Amino acid sequence: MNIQELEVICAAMKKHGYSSFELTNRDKTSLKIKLDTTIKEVGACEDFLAPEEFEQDESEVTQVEIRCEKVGTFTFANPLKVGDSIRKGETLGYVKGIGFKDKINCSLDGTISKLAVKDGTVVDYGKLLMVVDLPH
Amino acid sequence: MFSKILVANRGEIAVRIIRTCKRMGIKTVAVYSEADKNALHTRLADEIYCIGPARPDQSYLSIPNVLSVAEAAKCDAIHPGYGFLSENPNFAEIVEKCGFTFIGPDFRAIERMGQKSVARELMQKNNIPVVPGSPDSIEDAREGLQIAKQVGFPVLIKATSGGGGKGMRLVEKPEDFASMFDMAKVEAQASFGDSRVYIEKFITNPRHIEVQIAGDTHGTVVALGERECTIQRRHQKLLEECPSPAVSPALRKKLCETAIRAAELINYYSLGTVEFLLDGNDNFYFMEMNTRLQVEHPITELATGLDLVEMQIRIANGEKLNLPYKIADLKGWAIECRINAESPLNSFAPYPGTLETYIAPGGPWVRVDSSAYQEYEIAPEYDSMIAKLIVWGNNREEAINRMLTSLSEFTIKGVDTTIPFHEYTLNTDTFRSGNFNTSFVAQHMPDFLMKEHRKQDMEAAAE
Repeated sequence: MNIQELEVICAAMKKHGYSSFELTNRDKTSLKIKLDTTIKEVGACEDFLAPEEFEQDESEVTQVEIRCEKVGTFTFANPLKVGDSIRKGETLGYVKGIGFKDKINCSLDGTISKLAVKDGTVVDYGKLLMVVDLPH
Repeated sequence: MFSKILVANRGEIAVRIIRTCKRMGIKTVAVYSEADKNALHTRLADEIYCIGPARPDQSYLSIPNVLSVAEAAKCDAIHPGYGFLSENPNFAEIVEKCGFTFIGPDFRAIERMGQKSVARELMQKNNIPVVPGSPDSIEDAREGLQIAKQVGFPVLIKATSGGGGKGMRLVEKPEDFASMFDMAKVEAQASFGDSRVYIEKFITNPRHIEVQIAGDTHGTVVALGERECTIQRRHQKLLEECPSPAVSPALRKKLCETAIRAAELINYYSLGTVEFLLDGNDNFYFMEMNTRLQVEHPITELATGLDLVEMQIRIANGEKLNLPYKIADLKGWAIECRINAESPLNSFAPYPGTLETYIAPGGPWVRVDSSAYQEYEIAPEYDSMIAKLIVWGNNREEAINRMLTSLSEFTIKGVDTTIPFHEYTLNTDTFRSGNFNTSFVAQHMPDFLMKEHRKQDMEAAAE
């Protein structure tokens, strides 16, 4: 195995979030790769935040998108409209598919600024359901 | 006829199935993972739904997600393609219980044939020759070693629920048996969620011949000729032919009759493939039955003039086969080369990446089944296939020459591909003679590497 092949493996591990890789050949030689995901790569510009951006990061979150993680039919738990206040832990709706009915719970207090689905909409994985404005 | 079919797959086979559905006037629903949001099958289907992240166990293998799409999109049937859920009897059973039609065989047939040792036992009881080996799954390495000694080394340890070479180990001598047994069990558990393995005598340098069968729900089973699948690397096929240069008309009749009998034993309906090992004396042994559409089905289509996906859909719809024969006459010669993103110079290691250039060949009797296009990304989560290049000729020589012309025209940049190895193979005297066996790749690899390195040196010198 040469350095280019190792680089390809490391790049694939990073891209897909794997931190370790093991390979055992028929001749019993083996290869183990462990990536330290806490170390930021120098030069990885898109991942690297300038200090001031980093400090602002948490405080600048003003909106949260609520997205679907299953496939099924969405129904609201209670009628909701833009401007309604919602509380952390409140059940906003349900996604019902074959063999499951999942609750969509709110993870933070806030105000609904956008409703992206209607009652009875077929939703798929990653579909935006609503946007919640967080209090300042 | 069905009005809307969900295609529970990705890549070229999803595209292939959608094309036939469109021609038949059936609406299609495609499912895709986040990694496949730009895949061709999502552009061709009438409706598309994302079913999860790139990891197959959270998307293409997620039965609740696939079924929830089928329900939400009001589909009446599900085509599983090959791989993923296609040979999962639980999936086939749940599909039917939820009120959809599974475009494939009865789940009980998948279950029986999926357990390779059960299938072997059934064949053995009905006088269909099988490779000598353990009558059932083996739990214990010591018991396995006893059986291996009885049938004689070398032996293959194979996953009971396996396929595609995974969970398979070749053991040449008794002292290696215990460690190989453990490795096969671990790999079988990881690949199929079932650690059971069985033992088979390793037939040295056989050919791998398979027979395509089709059965309807009215009790008719036909054989659509054989396919030659001997050229393999790591027990996975690289190049296939229909018919096989090793099969005479008399042997074809025997193989086809045996395959039909195997299918009839389990009241099989839908498409299926009965795989045999053929030794140098025209003795053949049942290996396994695949209860799905095969990757290499297009060569049978070219040699028979049938659309096998249409046939599969019509069978699932309860229609009769209505073919004027029990064993099909094969017309001319078809060859398929699997164009994979792999590096043949490096033991066919997968080579995921972006296709910077993709120009497919064409012309009379040239077919390219693919989901690839320029800038398409071959994702590392899935298999490395870029395209299947399939050609037809009036005879074997014409088909080989057409394949060579097509391969030379196929331009793919950005990843390594299997094209150079196919070109090499088709030019060897061994391949052209038709007299080769499963050791072809291993035997020819040194010569291929030498020629490729020499070619690279000359290209470098010319620059």
